[in-house]
Amino acid sequence: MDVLNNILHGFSVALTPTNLLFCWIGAVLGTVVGVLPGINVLTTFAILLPITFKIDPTAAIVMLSGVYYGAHHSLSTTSIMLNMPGEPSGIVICFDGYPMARQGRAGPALAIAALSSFFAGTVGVFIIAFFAPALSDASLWFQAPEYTAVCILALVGASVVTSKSKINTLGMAAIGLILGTVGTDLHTGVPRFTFDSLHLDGGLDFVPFAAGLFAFVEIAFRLGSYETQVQIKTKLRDVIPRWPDIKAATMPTIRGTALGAAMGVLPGTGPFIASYSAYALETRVAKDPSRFGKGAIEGVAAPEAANNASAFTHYIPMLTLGIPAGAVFAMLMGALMMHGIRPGPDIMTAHADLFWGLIASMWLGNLMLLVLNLPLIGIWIKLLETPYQFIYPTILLLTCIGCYAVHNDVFNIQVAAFVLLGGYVLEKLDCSPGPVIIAMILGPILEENVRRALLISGGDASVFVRRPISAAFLLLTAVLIVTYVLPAFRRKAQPAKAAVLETD
Amino acid sequence: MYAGSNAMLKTFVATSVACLLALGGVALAQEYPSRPVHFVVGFGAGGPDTTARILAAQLAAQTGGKRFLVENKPGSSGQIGAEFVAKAAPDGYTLLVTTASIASLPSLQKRLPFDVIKSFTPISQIASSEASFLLVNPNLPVKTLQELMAYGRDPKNKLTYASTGIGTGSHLRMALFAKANNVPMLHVPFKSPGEAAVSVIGGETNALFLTSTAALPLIKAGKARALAYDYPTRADFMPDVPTMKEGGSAPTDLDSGWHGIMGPANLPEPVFKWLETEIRKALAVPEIREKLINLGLSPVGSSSEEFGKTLEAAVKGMGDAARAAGIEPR
Repeated sequence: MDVLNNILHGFSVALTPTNLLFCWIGAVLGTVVGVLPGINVLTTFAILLPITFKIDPTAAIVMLSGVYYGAHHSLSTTSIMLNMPGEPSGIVICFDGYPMARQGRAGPALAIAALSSFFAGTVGVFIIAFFAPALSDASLWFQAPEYTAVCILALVGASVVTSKSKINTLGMAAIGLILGTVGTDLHTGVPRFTFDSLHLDGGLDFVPFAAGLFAFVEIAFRLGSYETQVQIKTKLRDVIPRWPDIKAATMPTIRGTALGAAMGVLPGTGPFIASYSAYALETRVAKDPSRFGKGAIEGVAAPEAANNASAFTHYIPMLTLGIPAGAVFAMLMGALMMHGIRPGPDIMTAHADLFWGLIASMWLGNLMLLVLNLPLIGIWIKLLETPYQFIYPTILLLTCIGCYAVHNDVFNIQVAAFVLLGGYVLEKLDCSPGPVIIAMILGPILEENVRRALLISGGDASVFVRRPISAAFLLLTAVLIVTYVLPAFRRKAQPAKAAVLETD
Repeated sequence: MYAGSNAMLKTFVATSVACLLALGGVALAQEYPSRPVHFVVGFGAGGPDTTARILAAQLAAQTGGKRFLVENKPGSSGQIGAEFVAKAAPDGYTLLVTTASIASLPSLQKRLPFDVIKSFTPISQIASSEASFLLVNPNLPVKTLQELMAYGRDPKNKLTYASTGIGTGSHLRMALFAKANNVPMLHVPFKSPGEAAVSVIGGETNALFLTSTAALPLIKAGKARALAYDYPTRADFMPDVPTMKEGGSAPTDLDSGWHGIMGPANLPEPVFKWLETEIRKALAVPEIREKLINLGLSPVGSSSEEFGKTLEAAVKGMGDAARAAGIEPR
């Protein structure tokens, strides 16, 4: 068992005091980055860069990796506690995590999130160690038509995240798709809907929309109601997840991990599609889908697991091909390159210490995060008991800092303020903001790939069904649409029964 | 104690600045920098940002604790950061660290809020970027540049190439190659070099120009085939790969790019001379050279005048290339 020997060797590297210390520093910093909205992983990397010059390359990548997966691990905290997603994948956690917190069940939500992150992280590390080269070859099967099909499947899945009417959901998704078209067009270089503003050239940023539609709207609504005075009381026995919670979360965690690990291998998707697909899958397999959006523990466990599993399998393109899956990995590679190490297909043999040390440290870092985050839950719960008039100015301030930090510019704070106005109107009209932001993120990826697929095929639309993987995804989408539309037909046929269902 | 000495230092700096202001411009420049110098980068982390941070750390170390801060103002292909510096006070405390892509802006944008030549004082070219390899998917039935051109000219075949976006070096380079050799090629833009490279090794597109450090592991692992090196001489780390000229094509003559530092127009001479000297000193430090070289950059450290010429040549070269590629300014 070569791999086992290598892993043991990796632990001997990762367990040296220096590497252990840098792993711990990274994990702690990552937790802070995940919780605070004003600072993201890339900014932290840039700030830490001068430190990495001075230390051993293994210690450097161990620390930077700790920041990266640590931030993914603790990402759910603000979504659950404050309805404030810091990254796109945090939105999905908001759907059920925040209702759980409002019901006084923030403790189990946070604990299950931490446990499912740990499980997904462990599996993710295992997958990198054993299957990285095979998976990287498989990821090359995914080209523009396949990405297109996955995006269509995910977008159609957007219909399942709200309990609202179909026309309502479609309308919201349409708004999101339109917002997603803002910015310079990749294929022609033409600016679209930018109104001559340089700030809009690169498209609308996610952060002000998450802030406006989720955190700000929540504040606006709670200030407008008597509920402001009501504190969330959490009973002590509710802090720790009980056996039914763990039982309910087990299968979703496993499914989320599998889906997330598979999605993470594809460099063109990102963690959002992974966690979002995992959520959609849970609502499909659940016996009672109506519980989702109202505090279902499965709705926290599955996306959290998918998010973390994909965070780890995202390493695969870099470690096997030397190709970074996004800006974070480009920075990680830069830090290694300055030490004269170029990640590529030979990294496992040419830099065995570094490669296996990194892998072992990832698992150790995951364990540290679990140990670090579980006791923190008690503190978070205490924070929730703070009267709301003290919490909301803090949320406002932190969110504004987060918006400012995107480009070190006030523009995105102004955007967030506008989004709040729109979001308030939507909420008053009983429209759900979820599909808006989902379509806004998925739309551009879909457009890019549809156009690329058609450009390469010379305008022949049959590429989408001629290629087996893409055809399979499209077939699945068709099945989803049929099962989605059919109940509506049945309801028309049996109005009496439908009326009973409506009152559920 | 630390805070105390810091406060004292601040008082000292403040009084000395006040005295110097009274003494007039020359003395002020002699004491430059008396407060933190901001290196504005028009991009996020990575690339020129890394160069700026390496340089900032070294300048702080060699000038005995003067502060150099890197500030990211990303957006609109670096335009937002460049505009910020172009409109800043020419006192030497707001400087721009940029890539050669700034030189392509005039040929891509009609309404540029600044003039790449007139709105800036060039200070120094920090480093020049590495040259690119022309890579193809190993399953493409071509082994040489000549075969690629013949394959592309055959109307039965349809060659596609990946790039990192409209008007980027990887786009212009291939467009120039295709035009000069009369090879019809379809441009497929991507958002990052990584996605473009995956597209070629997966066989979705046929070819791309990729910078040396990114291309090297792919060539060595047999994931991509290098047909030519777009540089006057062969690369010493890959001597088997012919230059474009040896391969039978005209070289693209497109500058490989650089990282440089500039300030707003009318920067006082003592200020940019001071920076020029310190930057040259920093770039002579072996550790710094090694880091830049590992990142695929060759340290340069030119004078303000030399960098000005490089900048003008780049604006012209990029403009010619963009016209050859059929790009209209928007």
